[in-house]
Amino acid sequence: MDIHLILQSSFGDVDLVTILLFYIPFLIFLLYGQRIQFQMALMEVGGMLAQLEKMKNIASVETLNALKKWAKEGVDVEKELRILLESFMILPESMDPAGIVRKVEHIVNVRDDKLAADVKRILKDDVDNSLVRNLENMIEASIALEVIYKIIRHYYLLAKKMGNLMLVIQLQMLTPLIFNEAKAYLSAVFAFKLGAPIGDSIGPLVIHKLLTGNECKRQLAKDTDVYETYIEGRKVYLVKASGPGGNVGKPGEAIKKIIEEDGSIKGVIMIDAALKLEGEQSGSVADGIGAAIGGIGVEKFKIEEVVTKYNIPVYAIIIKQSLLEAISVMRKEIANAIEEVHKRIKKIILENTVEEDSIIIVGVGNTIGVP
Amino acid sequence: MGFHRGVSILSINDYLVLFGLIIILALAFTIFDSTKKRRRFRFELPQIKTELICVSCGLREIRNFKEDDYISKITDEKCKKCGGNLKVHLIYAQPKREAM
Repeated sequence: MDIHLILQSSFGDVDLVTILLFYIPFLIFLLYGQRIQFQMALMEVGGMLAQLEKMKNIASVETLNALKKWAKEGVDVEKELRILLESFMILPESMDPAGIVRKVEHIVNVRDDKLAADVKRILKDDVDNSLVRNLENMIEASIALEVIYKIIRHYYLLAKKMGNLMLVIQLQMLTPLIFNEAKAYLSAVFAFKLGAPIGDSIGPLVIHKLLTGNECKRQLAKDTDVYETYIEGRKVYLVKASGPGGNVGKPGEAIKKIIEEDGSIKGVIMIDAALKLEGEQSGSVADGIGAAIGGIGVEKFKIEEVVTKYNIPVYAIIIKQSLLEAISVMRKEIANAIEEVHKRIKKIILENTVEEDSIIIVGVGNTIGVP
Repeated sequence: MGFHRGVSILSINDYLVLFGLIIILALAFTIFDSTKKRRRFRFELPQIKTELICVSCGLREIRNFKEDDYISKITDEKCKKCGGNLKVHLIYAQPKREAM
């Protein structure tokens, strides 16, 4: 039978080119749809990966330049930085969780001390301690970018090698979120380079703004300052990390020592930056109950242990911000929250304590740019 | 395109061509969209401002951030009103469009 007759009986008065134009894409999508989707997703993730690589390269170059500026003569800074960027920390085994906090604390302390010693070894002996802290923070942000890039690259190459659509689709869904996180770490590198306060510094800044300059100052825990003063007739211990270098201190250890030293503590007020939910306003203030402190959990555990032992209430005041805002230079709307936080502190003190009582106020966060 | 009682009627042929074109356009748009995502990264440093306060008269001044500025640092700048020392009161970032 003539092909034209078959076509005419099936499709009516339609020419062959039109039929092909209509049906070929259908056939392609039917047979190769998944492969096309896989290639498209792979292309998108590949693009993101290229951008992540660019970000981590910018971060390492910035860190390298900052280190070179203060490095001892004869030190191969590039090699030393590469070693630091490749360094890692293995957390303790949690199969038997009893006593794990002490083990985690030990590992974290050793890691912090090693990083500090390694950075000091690169730098000239007369370099200011604040600057050493800032450089350490820059290295940590660069390590974070390095890790993010390597993990995404690992799954990208794995998905490519295996031709695994599900893996690449998961990556495609996650990469925008990871990309935002990477962007936050990159801006952290610049903030630490400049030594300007970051969004997370709002806790220490609130404490700093309560100081008049006449307080008695002690260092009760490593890198943690404690000031004694009076507010509304109550004895107040103000706790923050030692600045103006980038540092978070050991507020848990300091609180524990103050409580064990002064038997009349009637409350602990913790001020910290907290991650806002989408739609919430940056710099908005909220108060509640509980230990407002982030990190790996060691300091939080210590605070909860001691306040539970002595039955002391813990009040929390949080200043909301996004992750990007928390680790990049402090935005004005966050800095503007200081006055409101001071009002809330006063309110908590007046409502929950009487004159002659003692209270601890802790400004949690990185104290970069805040002495 | 055929005409029937003054109203234009598309033939099956026209529909098929239109459908084919829509598919091609959709494909082109998807490819363009994914390549656009590749080019999206742009990193801009915000304007950083330092707010200074005169320790004698309390006059406030705002200038661009300098690298060794930190909160409460007594700078070597003098107050325009009374000549008193200026202290760093606040340091904050402003998005470029809001920056003065």
